[in-house]
Amino acid sequence: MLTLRQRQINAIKQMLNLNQQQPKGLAAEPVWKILIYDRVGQDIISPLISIRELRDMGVTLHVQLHSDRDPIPDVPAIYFCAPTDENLDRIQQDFQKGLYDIYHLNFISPIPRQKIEDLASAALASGCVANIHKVFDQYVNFISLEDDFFVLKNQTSGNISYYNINRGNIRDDEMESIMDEIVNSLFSVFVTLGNVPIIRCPRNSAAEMVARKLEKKLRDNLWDARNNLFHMDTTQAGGVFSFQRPVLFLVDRNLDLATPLHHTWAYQALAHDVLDLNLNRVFIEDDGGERTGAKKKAKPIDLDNSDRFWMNHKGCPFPTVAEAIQEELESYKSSEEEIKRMKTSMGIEGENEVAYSMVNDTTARLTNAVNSLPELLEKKRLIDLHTKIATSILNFIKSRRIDSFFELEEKIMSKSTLDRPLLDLLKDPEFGLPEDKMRLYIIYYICSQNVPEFEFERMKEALHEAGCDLAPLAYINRWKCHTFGINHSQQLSNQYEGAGTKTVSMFSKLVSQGSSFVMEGVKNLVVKRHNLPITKLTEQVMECRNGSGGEVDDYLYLDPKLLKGGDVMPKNRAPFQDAVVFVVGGGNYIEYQNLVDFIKQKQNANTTKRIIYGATTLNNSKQFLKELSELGREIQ
Amino acid sequence: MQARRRFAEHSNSHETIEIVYDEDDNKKYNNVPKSRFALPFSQNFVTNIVSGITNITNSTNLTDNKENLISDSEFFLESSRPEEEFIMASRDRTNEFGNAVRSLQSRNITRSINQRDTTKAKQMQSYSEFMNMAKFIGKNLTSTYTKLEKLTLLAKKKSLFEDRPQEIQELTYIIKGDLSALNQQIAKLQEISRRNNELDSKHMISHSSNMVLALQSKLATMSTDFKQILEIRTENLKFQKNRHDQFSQAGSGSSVSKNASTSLLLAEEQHQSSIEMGRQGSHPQNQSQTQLMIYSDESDNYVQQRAETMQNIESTIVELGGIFQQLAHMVKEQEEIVERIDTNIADAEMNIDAAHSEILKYFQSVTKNRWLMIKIFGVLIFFFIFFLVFMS
Repeated sequence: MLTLRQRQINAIKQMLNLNQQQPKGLAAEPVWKILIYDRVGQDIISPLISIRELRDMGVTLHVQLHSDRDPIPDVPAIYFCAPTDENLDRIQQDFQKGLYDIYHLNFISPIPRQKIEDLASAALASGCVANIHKVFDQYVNFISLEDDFFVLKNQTSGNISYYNINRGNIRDDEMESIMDEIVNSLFSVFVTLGNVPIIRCPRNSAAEMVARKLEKKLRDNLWDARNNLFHMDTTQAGGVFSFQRPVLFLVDRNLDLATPLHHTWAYQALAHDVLDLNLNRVFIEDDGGERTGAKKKAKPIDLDNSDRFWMNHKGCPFPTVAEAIQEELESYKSSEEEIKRMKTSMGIEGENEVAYSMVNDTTARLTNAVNSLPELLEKKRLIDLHTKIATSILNFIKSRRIDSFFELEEKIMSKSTLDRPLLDLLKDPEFGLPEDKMRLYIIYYICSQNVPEFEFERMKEALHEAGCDLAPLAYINRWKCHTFGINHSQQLSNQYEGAGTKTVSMFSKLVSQGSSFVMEGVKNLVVKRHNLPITKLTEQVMECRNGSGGEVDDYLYLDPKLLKGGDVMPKNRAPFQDAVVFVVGGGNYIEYQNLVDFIKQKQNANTTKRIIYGATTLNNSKQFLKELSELGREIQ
Repeated sequence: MQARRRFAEHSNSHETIEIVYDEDDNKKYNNVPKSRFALPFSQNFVTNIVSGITNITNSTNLTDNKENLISDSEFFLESSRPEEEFIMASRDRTNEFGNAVRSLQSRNITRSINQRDTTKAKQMQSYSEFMNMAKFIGKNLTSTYTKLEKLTLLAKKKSLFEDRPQEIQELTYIIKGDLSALNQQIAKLQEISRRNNELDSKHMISHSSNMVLALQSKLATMSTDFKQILEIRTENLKFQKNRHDQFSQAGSGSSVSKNASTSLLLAEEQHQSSIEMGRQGSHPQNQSQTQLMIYSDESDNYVQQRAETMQNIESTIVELGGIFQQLAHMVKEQEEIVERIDTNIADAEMNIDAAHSEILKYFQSVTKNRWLMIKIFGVLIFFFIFFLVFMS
């Protein structure tokens, strides 16, 4: 059973293989080709396939579409780009100049008929019709960051941001185009998955618009006999997915604004919040040596599936990660010792004439050792890398007091009493950045009830003194009134139940071992397991309990496979095994990890449940706060 | 038996392929004076390709028949990737494009034909030579690979009696030759690409150097596989020798009962003759003695033969070591390319930033200069007016 990411990789590899099925084994003859991509294509490929893999597939050269390219004859050129006017113009210029001898055009989203005709006429004009071998629509218009995590856009995400979706003065046609963009990408997600989902979403939201459009698009495609993209379902092994249809649960970001602003304590989410993890890559600034240049050189570090440590610990709370790094270091040192010992023993045996008969055996051992060397080096590289990341995260935690913020916010969410009044903290200039205070306040504002208005006012003043931009508050205020009427405030406050932390005694182990991490002054927080609002809703949607009084009862139920689908859920539907949770308006790593934890708990021996998390964009709290303040400014 | 006959066909086909790397040809390449290298080389080359291709197609036809044989080799399967699944995530619109072209063609026939200039044509010639060579090497790599797969099959057989040292040796020899020939060819290819470098553009250079690198890494992985197979073979030989020693020592004990047991083993090797002898059973004593003699004679031969084989294999490994050394730094280069395609972009961004800050600096210095100039002008005008007023 392949994951979404694996399927996308296969699809792209197939494209790179000139859209033919991949040959088995190494015995295949190499075919040389060059890859030309635009920014969308680059975002899609770069987290999936490294340059080395490209080389192995015979791609000798990879260049941006909009850079100056030199002609290379006799080699197929694979274009991988979105069918925008700008890109098509550039392609037509290439035709005109006769840059390449063989063209394979792959468009990331379907190219309209009109544009195909334009291309054809351009090709005719420059006389290179015979050179254009293939024109393909690829349905891979999304970026898979993890096996079960995808976002729609990265570099060109401005269009479908939270700000744009919730803008007050947006025109209808603009909204329409945003929705089309989202729906197109979602559609290609399901083409890649090779299955038609059942759609559920809350009524009266942006998510509903997406749901209706997606349903229509899926249905049109299903009943279009010629261009059906899903007919492989039953014949080709789609695994479990072909029998078990997944449920697509569309959620609006407005459902839960607190989580994206929440400070976090898990490794991956911290890396995203603090270090701007982008497309599985972080930039760590080298602090070694003074440079003449104004800017320090940032070193890129890739964090992906090949990194075993990352895979195991990305969801862990930060202190656990620090401990794990320490342990890895120990084990590495011990294996290094072993090799050294072996070297000395080899030396002794070499001198001994009697041991000659043993030589064969020793050779084997030596080969073993030599073979294990690269492995060890790799291990060392990983340890170094994670030490670097962890130390820089730790520096941020210390300087911004993220541990305290996290603890406070968890307490606010779980309605436990605070040690210090919030007002004091907000006034304390030593306590975190203005941005952090703003986040804390917004969470307090969202989660609290029965708080007198004047207290909020005083806090606002304190925030203003601390140098915060108060613009987001206007929007949050409106959102709170709008989304949750007075009646609903009770329900809202219960959403975050079960959160909480407890402080464990300092890292006794670490300190005793003389750790490289000086964690002093940072609390060791152990997070209690709890489900975020979206996770709770997902659970209800997956279990399909109808009429149990849950919130999801009146959610839309759309089945694109039915010719005339009502939007009411049928009675006695079996629980879903697979779910795709998609957040319209931006997701975050906190929710992703929460869902991953949730589904791990649900795993039984005989049922494998899977959740794929997706979002229009992936913003960290800073970016999200910026969008909120833009929205707030609009109101004022 | 059928399998054996099949194999005979195989080894024939290898001999024919061997022609491709004929030593004479290599000498020819080397004897050609450097200045006139390009033309005669390519002529030779074309004939070579033709013969190579026909040979290879022959051999591939053969291998197609035995696909089940090859697919049995677990060695290659276990070394390969996770399951590949056909993902239908694309739609072919080539026909639509073709239709559009046709409909447009019927409407207007005017068409401009772009001409490539002569310098380009010249460049093209050297380039196509390079491309042909690269393709040729790719093909040879593939055919060598299929041979390697067959060798794996043979070497993996553990049983004492199905052993075919002759064939294995032949195959080893052929593959060894292939590997060194390929190594030379790739070196030549590198030479050509280096020669072309002055003419070519930046992209072209990286393109061709990447091609050479890719071929080299393929050759490297192949020789690693080859080495592994040889190691397996040596292991097997050692194992067989051990077993053989055990039995032969037991045989020299010369007790009749033990002789009978060894003779049973021998019977398998000598097939029917000994069995018939056993059936007659008229002179058991005598017979066992003769058998013993034959046996000791044979075993001497056998042991010697084995020793030779082992030496051969060991020497091959040593030779391979040489190739490895050559390839090591190339592979090292390859290892470093574990980047992603957006790395360059990040670099470019950084460069742009740096450029921006430089420009800012320059701008500041320019504005400073401007102030200076204005001051000087002010002083000049002041003096000018001063002179105008007071001199006139």
